[in-house]
Amino acid sequence: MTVEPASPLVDELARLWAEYDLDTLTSDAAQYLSAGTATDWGLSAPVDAAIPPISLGSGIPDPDHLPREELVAAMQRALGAVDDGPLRYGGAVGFEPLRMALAERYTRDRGMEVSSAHFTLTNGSAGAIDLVCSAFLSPGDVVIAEAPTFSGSLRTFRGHQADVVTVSMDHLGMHTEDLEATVERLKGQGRRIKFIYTIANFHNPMGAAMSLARREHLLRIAAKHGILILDDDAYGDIYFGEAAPRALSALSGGHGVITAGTFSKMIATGLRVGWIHADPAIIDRCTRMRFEMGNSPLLHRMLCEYMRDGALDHHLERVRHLYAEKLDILARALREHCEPYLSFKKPAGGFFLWVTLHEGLRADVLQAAGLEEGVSFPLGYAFFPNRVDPTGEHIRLAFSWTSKDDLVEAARRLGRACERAAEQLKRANPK
Amino acid sequence: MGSEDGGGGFTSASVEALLSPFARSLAPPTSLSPLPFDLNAGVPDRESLPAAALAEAARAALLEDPGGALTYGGAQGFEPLRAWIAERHATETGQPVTSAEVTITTGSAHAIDNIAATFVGPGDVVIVGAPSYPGAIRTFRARGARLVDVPQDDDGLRVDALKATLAALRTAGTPAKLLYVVSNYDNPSGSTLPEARRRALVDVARRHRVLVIEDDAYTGIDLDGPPLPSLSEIGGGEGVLRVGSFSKIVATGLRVGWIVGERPLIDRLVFMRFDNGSSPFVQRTLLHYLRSGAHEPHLVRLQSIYRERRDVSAAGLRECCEPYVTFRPPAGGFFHWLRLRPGLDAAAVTAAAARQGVAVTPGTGYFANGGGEDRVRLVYSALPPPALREAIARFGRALEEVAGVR
Repeated sequence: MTVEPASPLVDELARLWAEYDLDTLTSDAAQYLSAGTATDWGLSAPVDAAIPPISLGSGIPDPDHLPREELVAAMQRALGAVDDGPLRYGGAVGFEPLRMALAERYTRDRGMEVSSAHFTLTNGSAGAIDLVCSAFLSPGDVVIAEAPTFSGSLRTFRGHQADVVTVSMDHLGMHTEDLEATVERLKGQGRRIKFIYTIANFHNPMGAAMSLARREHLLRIAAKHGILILDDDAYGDIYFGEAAPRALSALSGGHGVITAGTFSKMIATGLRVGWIHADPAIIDRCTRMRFEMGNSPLLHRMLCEYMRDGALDHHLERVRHLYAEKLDILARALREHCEPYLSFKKPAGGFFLWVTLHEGLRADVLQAAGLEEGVSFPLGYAFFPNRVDPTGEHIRLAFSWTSKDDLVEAARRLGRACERAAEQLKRANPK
Repeated sequence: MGSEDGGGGFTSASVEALLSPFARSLAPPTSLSPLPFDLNAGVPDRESLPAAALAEAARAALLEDPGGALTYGGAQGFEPLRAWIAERHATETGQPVTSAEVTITTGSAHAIDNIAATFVGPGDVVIVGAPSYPGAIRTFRARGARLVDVPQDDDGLRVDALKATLAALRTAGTPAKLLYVVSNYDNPSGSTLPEARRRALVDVARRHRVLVIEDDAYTGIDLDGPPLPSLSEIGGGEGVLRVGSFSKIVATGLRVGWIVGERPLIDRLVFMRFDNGSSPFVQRTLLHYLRSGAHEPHLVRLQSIYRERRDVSAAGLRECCEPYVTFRPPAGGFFHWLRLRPGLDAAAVTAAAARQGVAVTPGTGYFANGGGEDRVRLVYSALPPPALREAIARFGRALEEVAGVR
């Protein structure tokens, strides 16, 4: 390739643009934001460490158990289809047969009669949440979220210039008493609350599944005040018991609940196919705010073909066992190597273990010590809107991606890191 | 708002009350026509889609690196695909562009959305052509933009009018922020900006410090030789965001587009992504396809398919519709932009065409602030020549009917 010498015009342009402040062009929404972090994108943060660390940071499926052969076969079938639907625009609402397949799953698994009109397909559940925000948020509106919560969604809400107000939670999910008080306080201040964002099933980062009583209480509060519930259900199908908890959408009979779903955790994050499940009136409003002509119908057809012969159910059965086993392995190894420095409650599904630190250990000190020992993980406070964890010192350990052997080794390294952090603590505060 | 049964039912009206103002003001996007002869949707030819080569590429992408293809790929997109696009852009323009100056989007419509989200706030002035691509109009409007239009003629955006408009906006204290332009084979006008207008446009945009959005979705469907230098090239890579897409040159169903621009602008665009990036699986499949050697002959084949269709449709229009319409055949892309004889109305013509089984698009949908009653857009890309001839003969009968000849 040849590069022409710069012309006088280019020099002039360079000079003129140099006077320019990009911020005068940037929208208010963009100026409202800080840059996202790897954690926001569900990835391990890049680290500079002596030993290549074992990462417990990625909320992504096990790379050795991706159904690649089945997906290849499904793709061949999708592209061999007699019609050319998969290679043409799919429309803003998404490929109809895949929405039908989702409706059948929801009807079968959640005990609710729904149709394809209750679904629109999106660029993953992150795309679903972004679209719901586009349809419902105006600058200054309030979104209520659990604290802690998935940091990527907080960034999305702020990108839509909403104010995020948090409600505390524990291992049974959102504190709905706190929610009620918060809603009443905000309403008293004349604030407009648009939705309550929750991760009711196998919470990120806490792993908690909201109790039935709190689910019902949440639904009543939201309906009483005319506030939509946005249930981020990325992990609902990754349950380790008999079945998933009753979905908020099913409990509500479809009233006032928007569910963001995805194939990312069930199959693979690189598909970028998710959906919004809600009342058709809500789906219609979301579709109005689509400007990208929908996602790839080729991917949609591939997933349809993949789901058709029961491959997804079969795959889910396998990975539920896999992740339950991985959680057991990590939990056992942590008890062996890291007590008394930490404790945790084992979640009933999902990808994450929320770990409480003891003996005066600080999460940031432990993280630094962990990198020296060769293990990485995000800090608990990264999941709080102001990066302050008022509930104590926590770290989040993801057990989905890391191999079984590495989970054991990671716990061993974490144990050494705990000792190291405790030593530092002793040196800093000699008795 | 809770309903009597305690279920808290959201009625249509109560949902409406919760909507953001822009969601409330927008109509749903349009879709394909159910009529037998679709001269309405700007889609590629059915037969030309490279399904077999894409199937092979998908297989290669999944088997070569399943972890990479199936795991989050980042908001900016798959680096090797960005490098492929950068190299192509560099070869075309002579600019030393690298993958850092490219971001991948879910199609070019999404690219425009990403740009609007990053640079447009309520009340900001965005300049569009009259006519202009309705998807762009919708997208900017949803961000609260004030759309100001500048007339187009057969040679595209009139730069003299653009100058006057920008000056008037500045005087009024509401200077324009963005200028959206399709310089090659515009949708709907089919026009291509001559080189002198390109230079004048870049110059006036620079003087008024307006960021130019150059939508290049149809570049590649070059029917009369290679395209003129892009606005991006003329501007030396500065002050222009160039939007491209694989939709027209490979398949619309892939949903892969891109934006090339200065690094600080690209960084801001990536910053405003909330969807965790476009599918790395699709991006890797596409790169395998582009490197397979199948793409270049495919593009030549596409050009010959669409050249024939443009010529067949132009001949048909002259033969069957000439007294009622005038037009200049485009140098590329998918569209004829027909001017109706005075007295003929686009809505009436469209309705008569539908009765003949032919879907065409009235010009009125392409104007941000009104106009187009004397215009019809006719897509020649989607139908093979025999069907195209038949469709245009029927369209001629519809024109006769409206003109009162039949």
